[in-house]
Amino acid sequence: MKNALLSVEDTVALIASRAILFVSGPERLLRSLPRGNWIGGTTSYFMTPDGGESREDRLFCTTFDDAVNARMAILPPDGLSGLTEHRFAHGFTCIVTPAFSTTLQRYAVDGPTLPGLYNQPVFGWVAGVHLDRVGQDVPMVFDGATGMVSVDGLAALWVALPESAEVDLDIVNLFVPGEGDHITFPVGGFDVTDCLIGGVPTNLARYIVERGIDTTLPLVADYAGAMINVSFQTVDAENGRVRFYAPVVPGTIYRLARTVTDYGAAYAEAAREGSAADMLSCNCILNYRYAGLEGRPAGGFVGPVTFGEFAYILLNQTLSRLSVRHALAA
Amino acid sequence: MIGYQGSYGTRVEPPVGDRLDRTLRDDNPLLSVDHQLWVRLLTGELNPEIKTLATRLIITRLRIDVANNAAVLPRAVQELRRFFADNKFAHRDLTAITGF
Repeated sequence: MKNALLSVEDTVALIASRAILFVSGPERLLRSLPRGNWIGGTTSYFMTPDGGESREDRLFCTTFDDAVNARMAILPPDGLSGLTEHRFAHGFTCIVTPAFSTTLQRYAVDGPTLPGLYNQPVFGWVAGVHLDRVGQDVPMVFDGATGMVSVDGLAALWVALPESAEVDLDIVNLFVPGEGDHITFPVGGFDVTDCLIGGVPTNLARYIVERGIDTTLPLVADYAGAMINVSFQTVDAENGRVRFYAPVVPGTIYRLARTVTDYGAAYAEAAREGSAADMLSCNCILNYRYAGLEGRPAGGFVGPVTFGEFAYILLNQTLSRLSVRHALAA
Repeated sequence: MIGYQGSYGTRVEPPVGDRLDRTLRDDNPLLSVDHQLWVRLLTGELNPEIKTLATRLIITRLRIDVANNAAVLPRAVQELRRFFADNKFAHRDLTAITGF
């Protein structure tokens, strides 16, 4: 696996070499690429070894040189079961779907129950746009094999690996639950009104405003040791509504996250066990903004900065990372 | 309910007298579907230290299912057992669950 922030010309040369690629970058550049073994999605932000940056003239390309086979497609919102049906016996799947799309909402809710989802790594991210052009530009995804572009599909790249290769998919989440009350939701979804806080029925939006809660910090739930965030999108106290970037799930205990004091040090610690530059990762645009990652490295992790991340399921304010390693010969 | 419980790594004593299925690859014994460890795991009574993200997520999804409707417990046990039978990468988590 190789990562590089490339010009269009260098990306075209890679595609011409029949490399298997996961590409991210501005729409104009992605549209200019020839057909080949790649999928892609829009973003204007990248994490590089030198730090986060916004570029309109570069594409972030990950080459899967370990792959022995690959196939790709764009799945429609009602065809997400294809994600697990079309994978190879040994390998992994990369996915990208547009922010604000029906497919994203469908995957966020139904994805966790796809049959066999957890049997093989599913890594990916949510395509976005430049933050100055939200509402004007439209996030989109690309299937390089067919030249198809979609504003409401899920682009999937199924990668086959040799038996000697092992894939590791994990997350780096800087947030842990704070000391506050348990928050639970009787009804799940992206939009909520009522919840139970410490067991007491409460309107969440008004609770947040009345207490001046910092909504740059997510809600966090403990998934058997994995800290899973749900990030705030809007808080409308007047109408008593909160919108999240991922659905809250009934039956799950959330808490407001504890404040992170030093993002840079936290990423460096997370990267301690391996070479982050050799992994494919994506980091959330909320971390980019709130942690001030522009111009600041994140422990050596490189990849697109995105409007959501996937490590099997949809994640918020999280770094998702994928690595491939080969068993040592006896 | 699942979520932050503030307690991980509960040590589990090896089961005594329960049936084991030795069809799992690498001779790693897989607890039978009627073993109480599955129930304790999926009701949140048992919280072993799980290392693998996939295992963490499937256990949590099944715990949510069970918390919302206890009648699905047998199906949830079967699904989790199938997950371990199918996925060698998760066997270290199985060891954490069974204690052997």
